[in-house]
Amino acid sequence: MRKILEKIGAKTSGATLLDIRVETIRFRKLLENTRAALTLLADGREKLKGEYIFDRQYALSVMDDVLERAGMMAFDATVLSPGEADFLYRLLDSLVASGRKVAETTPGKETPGGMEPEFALLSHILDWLEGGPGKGESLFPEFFGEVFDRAVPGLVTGSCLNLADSFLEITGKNGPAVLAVIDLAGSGKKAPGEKTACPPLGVMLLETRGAEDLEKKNTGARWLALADGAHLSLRALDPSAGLRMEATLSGHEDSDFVFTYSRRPVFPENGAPRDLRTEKTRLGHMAWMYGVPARHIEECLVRLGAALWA
Amino acid sequence: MEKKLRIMVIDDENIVGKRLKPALEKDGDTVETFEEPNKALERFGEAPFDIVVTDIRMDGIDGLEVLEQVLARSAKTKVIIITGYATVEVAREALAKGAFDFIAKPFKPGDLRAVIEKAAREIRA
Repeated sequence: MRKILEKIGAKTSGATLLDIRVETIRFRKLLENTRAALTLLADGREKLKGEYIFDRQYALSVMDDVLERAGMMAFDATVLSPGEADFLYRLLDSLVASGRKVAETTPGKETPGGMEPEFALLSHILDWLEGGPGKGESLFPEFFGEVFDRAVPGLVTGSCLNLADSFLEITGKNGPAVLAVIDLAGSGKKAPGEKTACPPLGVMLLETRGAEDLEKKNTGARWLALADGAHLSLRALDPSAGLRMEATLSGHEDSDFVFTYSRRPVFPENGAPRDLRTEKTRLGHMAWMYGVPARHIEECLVRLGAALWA
Repeated sequence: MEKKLRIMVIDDENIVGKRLKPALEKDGDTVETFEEPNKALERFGEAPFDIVVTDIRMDGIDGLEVLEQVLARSAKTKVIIITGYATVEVAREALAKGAFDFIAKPFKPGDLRAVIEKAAREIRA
């Protein structure tokens, strides 16, 4: 923290770098809350496999907990894009009202296929939350997509190039790409020969045809990388690309992840890295991976680097 | 040969007894299930059980009262509390009042079996 404060005092009108810092933390909170909601759905599905004993209260708590996370996601998104608050909170209100109605219309004792009522209720709730076919109107997948469609464009972009600590020029098939790097951790500890002290960024550069440190600051940068220890926040400065990537590569399976949001798919259809889950939103494409071995995250980052820059 | 246990399961949600009974009877123990705690306590008055597994939140008589009445009648009986999703604080209170252990829903029958085996070792010691 001290290093960050020193950096703020020494290099800039503080507020701008502080804005970036706050925004980065808030985006990570949005991802944490999204992940928690997805984990609740996955846990619920696990409980439906039949080995567990649970009661009606557990089934209802899944709905309550997912809706609570949805509220946190709406808050995070409106911090990032305050102009979207009205829309997102109206959508959240509808989501909560519909969810409560679904929980009230519980299957009775006579359930299809002789399923126990508690299992039928949980199945009913999960189908609704996940927007399964034929399960009526579900607002959660729509809410999920709108949160990201509206939060990503509101993020700080090119105005922060003057804060960059270094510029990397990457030679790719489409010409050189210049990447501005801001070191939020303030460590600056690069091993000899390394272009960055940030592990996910280092891995992304592995299959590119060389990344050279530019001696002078370059305002032609089209990418901004915020390096924060094992965490990388990457964005395209071209608003039409609408690309944002977050990743952590610490070697700890519980915390490592990759998330991308982009207007166009980053990987071709049927060509995505293993374990990468994808979802199309109204305006873009999301892809994420977590809870997998570190080497899968690494492979995904290598391929992302190649797809973006090689 | 070890003496088989007499186990009582009390939960007002039918699913619990329905799914636990066959799982716990696999080892040859005798299992009786009840959805109404007052009927369970009447039955306990007729013939004590080695182990009582009871939900904590039930209409009428709750799990804490079951715990108190069971221990008042048979101090040797081990009472295992099943807690709902958000009742861990109450479970702590139950432990303070003499419950042997507690298990939180959702759980697998094998998880409860492990607690019962621990209780059985104490009973047989």
